Amino acid sequence: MNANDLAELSTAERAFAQTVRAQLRASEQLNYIESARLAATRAQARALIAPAAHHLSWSWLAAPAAVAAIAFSLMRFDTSAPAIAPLPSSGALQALSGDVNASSADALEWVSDEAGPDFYRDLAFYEWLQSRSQMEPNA
Amino acid sequence: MRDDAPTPQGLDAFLAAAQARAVRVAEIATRSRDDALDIVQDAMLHLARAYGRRPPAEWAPLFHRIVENKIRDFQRRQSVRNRIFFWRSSAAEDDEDSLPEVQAQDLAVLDATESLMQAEALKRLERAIAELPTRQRQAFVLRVWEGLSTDDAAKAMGCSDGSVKTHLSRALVTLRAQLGEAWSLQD
Repeated sequence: MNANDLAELSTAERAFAQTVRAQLRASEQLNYIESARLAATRAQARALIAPAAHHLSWSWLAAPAAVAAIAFSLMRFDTSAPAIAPLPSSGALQALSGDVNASSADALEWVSDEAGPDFYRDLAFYEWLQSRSQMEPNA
Repeated sequence: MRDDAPTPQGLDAFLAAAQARAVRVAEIATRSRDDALDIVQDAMLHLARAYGRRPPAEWAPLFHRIVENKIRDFQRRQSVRNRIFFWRSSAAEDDEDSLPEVQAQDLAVLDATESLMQAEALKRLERAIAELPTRQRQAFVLRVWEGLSTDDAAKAMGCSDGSVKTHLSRALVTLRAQLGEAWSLQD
């Protein structure tokens, strides 16, 4: 303790102040939870004033890498477009369309799945048969 | 590197040495241990963020000033809150809601170092300090409890050396009147 500490006070006031100081300082206790909490905060405080040099080195590496990645991705595009072929003559177009529209011997035929008249005649007969017999279960 | 250059390790050492006392100072002013811890944590980060690159010799008055400002902000919020919610219980009753394990640990600490009578005397002292006018309390805490010089205390309080001495003198007169001449925790 500094010899000139509280020198401006009277003897009685200084004695009182020093007694109070001793007791207050003796009461400065932190439990383990509080100590851990404050230790975590101190770690955050340290990080705030940590030198930024090592952060700059990473940025100096990242910037050229980003530029190289962008340049590489652009290199994949072939800027030389292929020449567009000229339009075929009308005769050539007609010959090509004739092949498309020509009938084929092995082409599939479309058959309607709508039931024929025999089906409905048989259905009517079946329903008449059902009505005659009370025991026969429905299909 | 210069000896007075700020370093993370130096800041950590300063805050580790100051934290327990700062928590007690804030606890007496706010009458809440949790609020005191919040205030000290905020003050630590504020010091690092705003003044971490200042010379270490300036950290003590700066940190105490930050703590006092945050205590004042807390008390202003409390007064507004109490005006709005006037039916809220007092802070003394809130203290009884602390976690049982924390109460048990506080009691264990007291039993280890002080008798029950000393604990009551300490409570009287805390109440007396808390009831001091703000500037007197600041002068008392900085000069007597923290042990700062008059010059550093003046920097922390933002006033002249003479004002610090005046406030301290009045604080001591008030405390001695409230606690009595024979007050002492040491039998």
